[in-house]
Amino acid sequence: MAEVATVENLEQNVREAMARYGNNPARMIEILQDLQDIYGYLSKDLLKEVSRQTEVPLARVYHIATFFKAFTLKPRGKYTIQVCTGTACHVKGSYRVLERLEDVLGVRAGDTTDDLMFTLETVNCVGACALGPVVIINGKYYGHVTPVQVESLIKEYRER
Amino acid sequence: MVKLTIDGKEVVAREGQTVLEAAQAAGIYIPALCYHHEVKPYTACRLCMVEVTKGKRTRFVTACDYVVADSMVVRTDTEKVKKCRKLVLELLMAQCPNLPQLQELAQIIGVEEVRFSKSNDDCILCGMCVRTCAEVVGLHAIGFEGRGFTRKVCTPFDEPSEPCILCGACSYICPVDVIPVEEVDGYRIMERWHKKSRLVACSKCGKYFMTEDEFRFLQEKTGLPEDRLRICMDCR
Repeated sequence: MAEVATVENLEQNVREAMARYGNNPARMIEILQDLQDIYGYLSKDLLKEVSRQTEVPLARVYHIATFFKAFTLKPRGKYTIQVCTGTACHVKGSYRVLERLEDVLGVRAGDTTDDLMFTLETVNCVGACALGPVVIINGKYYGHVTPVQVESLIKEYRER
Repeated sequence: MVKLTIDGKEVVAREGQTVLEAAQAAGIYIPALCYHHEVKPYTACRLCMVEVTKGKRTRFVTACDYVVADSMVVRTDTEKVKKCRKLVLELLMAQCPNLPQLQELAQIIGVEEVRFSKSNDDCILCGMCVRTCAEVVGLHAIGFEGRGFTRKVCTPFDEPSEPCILCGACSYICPVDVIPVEEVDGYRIMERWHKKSRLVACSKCGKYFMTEDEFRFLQEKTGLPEDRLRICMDCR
């Protein structure tokens, strides 16, 4: 899904993203959104290339990229694991699932494993309270998750 | 010409002037930390809040960007205005408890204690440095990062900024003086922006007077011959 960033396609992808919005630097947010969809995150090189091509100062591009929570400047894992910490899931013990995930993956919520396989994050209610505790991996929902299941679940994704 | 009243005093202002400028010209004090006539108003510090009455309507506005109008009535000394200022300064002091400039203002405005839990920042986020770099120097070497309580002023990625020429304009304009510039062993160092540049000595008196980055910038901008640019302001 995510494309590997090389210098060539970086330049081309930025050019194409800009062209989609009439080469109008005022549409920076949309340009950055499109680029984040391709690369999964906004790298330093990418932001510098955007600045170069849009002729918007880097300090300004950096401000926009760091202002919105929807943008991430850190690489993200191949799989995003979201643990619901909403009220219902919390009552059902989602924090223990989260703790177990943090132990197994060796990262805290909000971080990505060094091998770029998993990004662990928390979400507040996904509207599937009856299934709590809920864990979502790249859009696939797992209900009634117990801490015991965590290890085999991660193993399953590692081996894919 | 526009005729208005500030604190009961008849004031004549130019069309398009702001309330703050008109008040200053009339010798009426309005505190402001993020205002300077060389850069556009930004309304970041909120200290210049005044009460403005136009017709039947009274409202609170920031004096630094509010444009004067005929028969406008401005009050800078009502209880409400004073209360508002105090609160704003109190919040600034909670964010940056150790700034002498804020303590000084507290004396004038009358803030005795800070009721909010204190942080230990040194930057009031007025954006003076960012705007000066962009609008006056024209380089955009520094900017903001993040938002809300994680907002800060820094170079992109908090790394040495390529366009920065270490001119020191940001340091000069900073209303709370927290962007130090050091000159050691022929280098100018700006710790806050993680950058240093070798200094150029005047070809007449031998005193250091600008950085090599500044020199290149001026050379490109003015197109003046090198030997002329190498003479400092005092020797010219």
